[in-house]
Amino acid sequence: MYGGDETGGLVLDIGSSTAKVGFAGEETPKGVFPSIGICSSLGGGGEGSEDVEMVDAGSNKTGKRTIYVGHSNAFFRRDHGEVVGAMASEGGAVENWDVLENVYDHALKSVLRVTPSEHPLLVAEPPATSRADSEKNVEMLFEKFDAPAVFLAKQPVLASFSTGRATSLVVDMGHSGVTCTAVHDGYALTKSVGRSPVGGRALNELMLTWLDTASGARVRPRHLFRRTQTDSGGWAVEDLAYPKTTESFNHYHRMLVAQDFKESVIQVSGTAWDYGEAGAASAGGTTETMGGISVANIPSVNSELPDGTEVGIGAERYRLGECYFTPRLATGFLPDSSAKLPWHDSALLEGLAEPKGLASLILEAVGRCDVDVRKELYGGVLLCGGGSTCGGLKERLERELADNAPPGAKVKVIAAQPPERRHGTWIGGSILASLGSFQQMWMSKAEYQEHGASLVKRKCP
Amino acid sequence: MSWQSYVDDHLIATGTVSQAAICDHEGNIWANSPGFTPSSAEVKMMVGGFNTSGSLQASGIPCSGVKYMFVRGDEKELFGRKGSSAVAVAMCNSCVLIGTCAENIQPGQLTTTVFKLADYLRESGI
Repeated sequence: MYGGDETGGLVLDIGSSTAKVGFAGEETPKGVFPSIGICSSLGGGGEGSEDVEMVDAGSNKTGKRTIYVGHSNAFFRRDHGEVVGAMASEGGAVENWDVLENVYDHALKSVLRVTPSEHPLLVAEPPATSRADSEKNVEMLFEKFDAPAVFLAKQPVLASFSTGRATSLVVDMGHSGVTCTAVHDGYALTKSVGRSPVGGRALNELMLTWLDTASGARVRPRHLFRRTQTDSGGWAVEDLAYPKTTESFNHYHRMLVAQDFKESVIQVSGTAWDYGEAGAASAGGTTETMGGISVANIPSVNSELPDGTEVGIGAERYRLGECYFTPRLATGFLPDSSAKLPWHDSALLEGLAEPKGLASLILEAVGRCDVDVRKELYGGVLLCGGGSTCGGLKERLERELADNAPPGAKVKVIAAQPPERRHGTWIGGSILASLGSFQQMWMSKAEYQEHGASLVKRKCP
Repeated sequence: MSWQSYVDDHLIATGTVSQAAICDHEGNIWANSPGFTPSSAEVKMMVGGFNTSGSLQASGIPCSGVKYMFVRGDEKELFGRKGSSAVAVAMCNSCVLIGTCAENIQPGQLTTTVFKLADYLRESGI
């Protein structure tokens, strides 16, 4: 039996944007890399290709396509290299199992540099994962990687553990959307889950639309320009052309530029945005006010794109943050009425015309729980995920929840410091996997061989 | 084999189940461990919860006078917690299998035992 902190366990949290991987018992993940693969079909990359054949650790040939995974591969432009995510664009379910397999492979063999058969694996999964997906995941970990033991933990449970709580309402603001889950006594209440498609990716898309249309700047992906210093001390930017680059690769990198820009400017205002009589229909209209100030008078801040272009952004940086609370304000980013919002056909809307705001998402999730635990949940609203690190969000959320919660409920929003908040799920996994009392919970290889993958839902409730 | 031996030999004897009962869908008890008597109203609530587990998440899972917090459920299995004890309920073709565990048992072991027996009963057409 294991004792103390030394279990040799590995913790893997594969999100829809990045994969966080590391050793149990450590404070931060050892490696964080994009959970995407650059796939080139063997036929496409053949004739006349400028591509260099790389036989490195990050690549793996499965079936017809070669999949390159890892940080350096995500930034290495390849002819006909399509960007394919391991996870679905919303909801966090696995979409491409062969990409996921390569992500695991890269994490274990290239990032952590371990022999997978020597380390038990704790893998975080979204709260609404279907039984079939969990079983397939476990099967892959045992069959392909020969893991000695596996445990699938629900992401919100781990996030809750990272702050030392067994009961809390976890608000995971991820890349593909926001997920609210009640966690009670270390168990995720799966029927309480509330999801919204307004996540980091949607905001990146809005930011990109704004940069393309309203700012007057050109968003150039990093591989399509070269910036050099001239003799006079200035900078010259030269466009590069690689016609064989795929649209998905260009878009992925344009989104990364928009994401960087978003992260440096996004702000949540302390008071609700008053969108006036005309509502969101008057995009950029003058009736909108924020804290009594007309949005047209909000001072702008500057941020720089990778090619050196300075872009000033004023009210729109607040509008972006406001999308979490009032998603309909996002229509203000659209160039014309025919353009669609990033979430217009999202399955997470469940037939609604527009996504729910953050506050009502949380209140409804609490409302779906047992009356006896609601009070505890109101007192422990836990923020995690990269989206929650935007400035002013915690204070604003606390205020909105206090205004809308039932009388008598004491609302408290808990948020760790930004670096821990961003990786809250992984840190919780690191804590759980190093606990002495957890060691009897693993699903071992022997159990897998006796009972099959269906055991996972019983061992890992 | 009598129903009582299922409870005694296949659930309680494993050491992973503290109390157990087997009853039909109406709540008539076929076999149970001493002192564990889920009422027919409680069993009917559980049976109703297999299809629409929405009804249980607000009310919890009442079982032999104890109310357990509803954690998860689908059309065949329900799982609830109260403090560090837990309840596992499994639906078979003509009966309902109920097991609970006390603090000293991992809930994961409870569910493994109860749901495995339920799988066997379902395969046998019961």
